[in-house]
Amino acid sequence: MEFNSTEEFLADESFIDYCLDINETHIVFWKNYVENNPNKLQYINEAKDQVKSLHLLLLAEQLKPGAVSLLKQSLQPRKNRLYPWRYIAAAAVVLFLMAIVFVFYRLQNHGGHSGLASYASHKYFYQAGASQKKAINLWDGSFVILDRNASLYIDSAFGEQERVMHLSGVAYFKVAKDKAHPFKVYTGDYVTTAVGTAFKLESSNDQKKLKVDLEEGKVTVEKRKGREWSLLATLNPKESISFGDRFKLFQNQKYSVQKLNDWKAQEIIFKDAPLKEVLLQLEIYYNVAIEIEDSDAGKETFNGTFKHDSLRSVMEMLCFTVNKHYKFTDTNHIIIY
Amino acid sequence: MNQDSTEAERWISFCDGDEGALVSLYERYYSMFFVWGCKWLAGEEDFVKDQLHDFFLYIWESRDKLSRDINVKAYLLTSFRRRLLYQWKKHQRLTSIEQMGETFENNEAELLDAEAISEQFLRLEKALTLLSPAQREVVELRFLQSKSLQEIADMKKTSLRTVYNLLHRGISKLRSEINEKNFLWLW
Repeated sequence: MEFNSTEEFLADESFIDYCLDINETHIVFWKNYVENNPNKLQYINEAKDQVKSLHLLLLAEQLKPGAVSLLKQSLQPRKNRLYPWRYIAAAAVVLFLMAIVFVFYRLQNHGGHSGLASYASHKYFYQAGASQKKAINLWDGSFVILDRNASLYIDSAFGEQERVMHLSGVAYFKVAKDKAHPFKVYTGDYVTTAVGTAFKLESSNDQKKLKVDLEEGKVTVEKRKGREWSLLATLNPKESISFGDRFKLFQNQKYSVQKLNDWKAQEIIFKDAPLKEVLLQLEIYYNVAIEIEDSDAGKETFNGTFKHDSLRSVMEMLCFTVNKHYKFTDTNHIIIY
Repeated sequence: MNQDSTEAERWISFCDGDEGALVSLYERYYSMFFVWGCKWLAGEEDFVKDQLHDFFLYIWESRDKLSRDINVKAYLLTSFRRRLLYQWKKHQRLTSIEQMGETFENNEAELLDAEAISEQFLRLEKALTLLSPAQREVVELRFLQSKSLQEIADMKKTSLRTVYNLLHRGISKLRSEINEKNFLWLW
């Protein structure tokens, strides 16, 4: 291929590998190319610099929150100077990560993120697409997976006293333990506070109903009444609780651990599931429309587990099992015949 | 210009011992200094990261002796670079006595154009905020986490074409933003 502009270099995957120093074959190839094409040097250097700058800036943004909090820590007992700090702080970070707890937070609010729309331009506003989950690393070490259509707004004062965020939709939280800074998730009139925990939460479309399943640790749930927050419940492990407009409480219900884990692992499991139901779930999961030509086929049942599979491989396996064929009529429509 | 005056005020608070001013200067310059530090010391990200931390604590410790009327950006950038290179030589002396000296002598003489450096950096930083979330995600996976296009497509359960397009549009957007004003890349 002829490369005659910076853009053309930037559009080449192996060239980027070379700039980022990640693939031996590509590095060798491009080193050679550079030697043999001195006339392209201007484009190459520009492209290379942009790749590096971009890489470094992304890295800087990733490191910055940690660096800022490290600096703040260093300021406190000021008699210790410069160097020793780093090692103390590094040790603290390791302990911190080892103390990670799991929080599962689930809100069934596929209706949308309208409640958070006003935050959409905010720097710490995250939103998952209609067809994809989104993973976010928070700078306190916590990790969040937003389910499809979910949105999360991190309060700008996050970490100062409390770790505050507002969620709409379904999300999974793996919370870094930090007793000094409670982890609080606001959903409509409810706030759920993690006290070192694993739990699941579901709220209705209008955010007036809420269900909490606690996996481990402890959570508290509070509800807004005017300006006051009243404590609704403190949950212990393996407990589940629901709140509605009229405060129906179902305590100590067992929740489906498997269901929760499925969601976390992004798995789809079918057990003796009628084909129709399988197709419906696949439609939701992959955001496609699936039709069956043979109406009798809907009565077949299907067993199987799909994990991180492409839609095509799922369809292959499914059709093989029920002895059918499928074809894509376009990218979002499938016919089974 | 307002920016500059608040910057000067922040510097004076810093010299007066306001920790908040230190933190805000650090937040403000962290990314820029990191990016440039890593360009000066190619491949030494960890060293630069540590030096950045130490540098800010170092100027904090010596704040009493610092001039209060300065161009903050130029002053900090120049001092940071000087200290970074000095520490690097010291570090090199510990690791290998042989190859010190030469590498940076030439660079030292070079004039540091703080305005140009900061303008270049700010353009890129701003450009990055203009990416759509999907573009930003793909750009991060590709340029920060070094994933291949195929790996990204597999992760996101989407086609190679989609990933390629997202990335391509992202890069084009960054470039059009950066090159808006016939901009000279310094490298």
